[in-house]
Amino acid sequence: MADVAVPEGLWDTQKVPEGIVANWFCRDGGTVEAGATVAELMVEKTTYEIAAPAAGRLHILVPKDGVVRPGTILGRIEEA
Amino acid sequence: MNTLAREREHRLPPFGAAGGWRTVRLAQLLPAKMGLARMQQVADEIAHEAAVPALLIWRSQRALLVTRQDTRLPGFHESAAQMASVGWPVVARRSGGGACPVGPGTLELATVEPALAGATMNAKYEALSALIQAALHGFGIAARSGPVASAYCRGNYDLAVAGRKIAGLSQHWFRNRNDIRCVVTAASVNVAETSDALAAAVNRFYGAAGGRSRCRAACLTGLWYCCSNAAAAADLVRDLGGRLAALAGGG
Repeated sequence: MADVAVPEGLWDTQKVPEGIVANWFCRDGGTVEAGATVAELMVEKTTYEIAAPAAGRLHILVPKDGVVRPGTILGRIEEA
Repeated sequence: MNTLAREREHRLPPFGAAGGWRTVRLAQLLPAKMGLARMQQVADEIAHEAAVPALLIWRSQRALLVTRQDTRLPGFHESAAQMASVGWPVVARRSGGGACPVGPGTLELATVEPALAGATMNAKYEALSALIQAALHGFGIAARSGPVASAYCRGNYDLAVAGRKIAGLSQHWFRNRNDIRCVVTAASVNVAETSDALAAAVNRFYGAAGGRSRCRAACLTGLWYCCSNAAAAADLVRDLGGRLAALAGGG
């Protein structure tokens, strides 16, 4: 299993406590390619594209509009 | 930020370092869509993490730059058509925030750089914000960073003069066509557009699109209105661009 995670330290949570998952570009249970953009975060006025760390089947843990912070595991990829 | 992250962050040269930044300054007044495309092109030219970062300075024809979220508002298409018919074409951008009006009296800029390990959103905002503040300081203007209530496209990195927004910043992180992680931090500085016209455009767009966001003209300003001995507005836009380029390039 490979974690799809928000990088640690990506933003200062004292300035912006949290962001949201603005969009998932793959459905839960769907297969993804390594490096493909699978989600987009919105952190105040920043959009941040999340890439799949591995190829395989995506399991979404935080749905669209769900709250995220640096280090949050957004989903897991069951490697093929 | 931890020590390692801080060290990595500092691998990119600060503004003003000799040879540290490449300035791309576009002289023509471009359709907004073309300016945004040029920004993407500069990002796509980054071929490796050690690539020289770029500062893009450009001027846009009148347009309303909206986010992808804005394009999903229930009345977006009708609103965009209405706005275009009154001289405000609506163009979607990739960074976040809200609708941002641009035109011949605003100056658009963007830092385009590889996103190194340990890079943070805040550091990128602070670097561009400091550059704009330094350029405005050259005109005798003290701009402070922080959110401006009731301004359009509000954010933590708004720049304000006497409490009125003069510039806004937004950001986009992505992989470019060379599979390099990039970050673009964009800003729009109002030099000479009237606050009333900017606020009216934003409010008209959201009113017709079904969005809740509204702004007040009294919360906005421009460089030309802040300068007591201002040159012609068009000259001021050009002068600000020149000052930013000189500060970024160490010239």
